[in-house]
Amino acid sequence: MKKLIFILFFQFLFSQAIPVEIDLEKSFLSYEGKHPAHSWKGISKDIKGSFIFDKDQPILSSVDLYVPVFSFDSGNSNRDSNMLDVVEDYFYPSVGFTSSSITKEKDQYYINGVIFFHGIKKKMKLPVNFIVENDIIVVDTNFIISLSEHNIKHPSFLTIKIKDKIAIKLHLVGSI
Amino acid sequence: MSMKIKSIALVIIIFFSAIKAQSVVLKENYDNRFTPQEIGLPENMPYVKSFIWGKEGVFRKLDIGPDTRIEELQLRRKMLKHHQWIGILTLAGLAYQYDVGKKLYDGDDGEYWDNHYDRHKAMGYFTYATYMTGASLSIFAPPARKYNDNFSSIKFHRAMAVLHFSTMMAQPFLAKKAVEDGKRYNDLMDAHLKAGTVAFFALSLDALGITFFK
Repeated sequence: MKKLIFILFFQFLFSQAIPVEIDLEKSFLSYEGKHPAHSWKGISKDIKGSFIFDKDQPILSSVDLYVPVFSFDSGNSNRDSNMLDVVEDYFYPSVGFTSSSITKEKDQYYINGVIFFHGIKKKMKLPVNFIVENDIIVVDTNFIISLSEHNIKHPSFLTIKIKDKIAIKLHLVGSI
Repeated sequence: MSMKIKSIALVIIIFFSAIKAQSVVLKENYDNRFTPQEIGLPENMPYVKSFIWGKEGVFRKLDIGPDTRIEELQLRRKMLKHHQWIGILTLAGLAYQYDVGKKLYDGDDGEYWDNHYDRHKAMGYFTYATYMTGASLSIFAPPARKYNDNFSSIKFHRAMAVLHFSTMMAQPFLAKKAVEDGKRYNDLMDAHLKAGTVAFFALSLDALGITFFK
């Protein structure tokens, strides 16, 4: 018992898990849609939620982030409006990710957690890279989500449907 | 140290560890992220949309349209899907119409005229009807979620629409006048052909723009 208290006490004392203040000017979440005729990118800088980073033991970090779907901007308001209809943002207003654990495999960190999108929760394992310099942390992750796995009807243009796989990129800059 | 004190110390340490490690997302915010917000009318609506669907728009006053904004958006989506299909049909019809019309105008082959004049006229009614139906579906569709001033394929689409809409409106009028007014037949038929040419190429360019531009 003494040992347990001793370990927990020092773990608490030296724990470096601190909330990261996200720089909303530099951070973004983007998606890339593809149609045989053209592709496009929608970007949101409206990243909300929390990111707790443990400098000494990154695997003890956690994220709980979400983005209002309305905030994505592809530079074409008509396309954005169509996207909002397709993902039914009037019923499912945000897309987000909540981590459950972080693992490290061969120098590569992975965040395990649940992505919620269009009312569907799906477990995912996201490869993540990060750099810490002068109390600034930069995190990047790229992954793919499937529209059909989130029960989203593929929108079509000129009778041709867009690709099912959507590339997602998260670029997070924050101060610790 | 007694067992009781050890247990209390353990609970305190675990409690504070948990506090320190927990997410800073407040429960209220966490729940709000899933709560649908009320959807209103967009800002920067084009004048036509505002006139029809604005707060004081004609359809509001006449109580035309769905009861909720969500139903309006669902209706809009259906209308614009049909707008796309009818647009493709109209473009195909206009391509044929333009080809036949040009041959009728250029040629002095009486047999070709006999065989194709009525077809050209009938196709004229058909393409006019499909064009106006497609245009109406877009004009009368409820407003979108967002409007902005960025130049994009949709801005290009709207600019080209002014061109092909006006020439499509003019075409049957010019042809009818040409038939009625023998003295000005050649001039009016020239204008009819020019209007048809502009309508066809403007619609083609529009289709290319909306397909390949971002």
